[in-house]
Amino acid sequence: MHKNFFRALIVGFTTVFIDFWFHFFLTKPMETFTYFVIKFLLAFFIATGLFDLNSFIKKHYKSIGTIIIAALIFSTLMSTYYRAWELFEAYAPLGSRAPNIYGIDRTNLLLFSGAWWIGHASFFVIGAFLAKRLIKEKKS
Amino acid sequence: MKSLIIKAPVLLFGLIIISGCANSQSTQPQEEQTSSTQESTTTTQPTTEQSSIIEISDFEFSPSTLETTIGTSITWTNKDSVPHNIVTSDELIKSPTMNQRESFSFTFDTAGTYSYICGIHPSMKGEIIVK
Repeated sequence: MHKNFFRALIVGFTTVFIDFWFHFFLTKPMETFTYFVIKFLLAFFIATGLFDLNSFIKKHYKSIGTIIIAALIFSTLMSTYYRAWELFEAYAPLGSRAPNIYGIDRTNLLLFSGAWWIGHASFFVIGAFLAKRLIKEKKS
Repeated sequence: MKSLIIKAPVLLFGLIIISGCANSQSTQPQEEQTSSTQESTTTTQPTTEQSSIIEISDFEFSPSTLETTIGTSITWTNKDSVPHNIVTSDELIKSPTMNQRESFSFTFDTAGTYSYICGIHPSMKGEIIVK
């Protein structure tokens, strides 16, 4: 349990770290501090669930499948956050909050939203693998 | 002859009065013209009123900082394909969403420094300094 907490912290920090530089170099405009805090909390809590579940279901522990599913859930919830912002905070049309990604036409909805979805998911996957590598499970 | 001596000054007096009236009638339109000029000067004042335009393009306000005076109308024009709006930190302004090529105007009547953001993209920031 203690290990899972630190693993989840690593996932949260790694996800936000990669995402920050992704936004810094490849998107415009830069995202806000609040956005990164929400991203960290979301990644942390989903990672906590992922590692606790993996500890419980031993046979799935080494499976990449659970990490990918957790990453996709994380990415979907980030998209939900965007949509919630547009609907309730800014009263703006759906899809207007996401920053531009250099080299990707935002009018191509499939490519644009897909890039965001896969991008967010892959940052989480990198974080999860790094956490597993840094804090290893005791061999039984 | 006697009557002529009496009639001549009367005629002359009459002519003077008539000519005087004629002069006063001819000067009246001039006065009217003057006043109409003043009116036209008054009506043309709004066009000489100061106005400033801030363009929104590529997720940036241009200029990002604008110095202006009280009573100057400021117009934000969205040239992005993405919608934007204007929200000041004190919520004095909370514009409706501006789609592409749409504008929003506001006139500041109090001096001060007004920071604003795009409510949809909060990292887009601008500042109006009203003097």
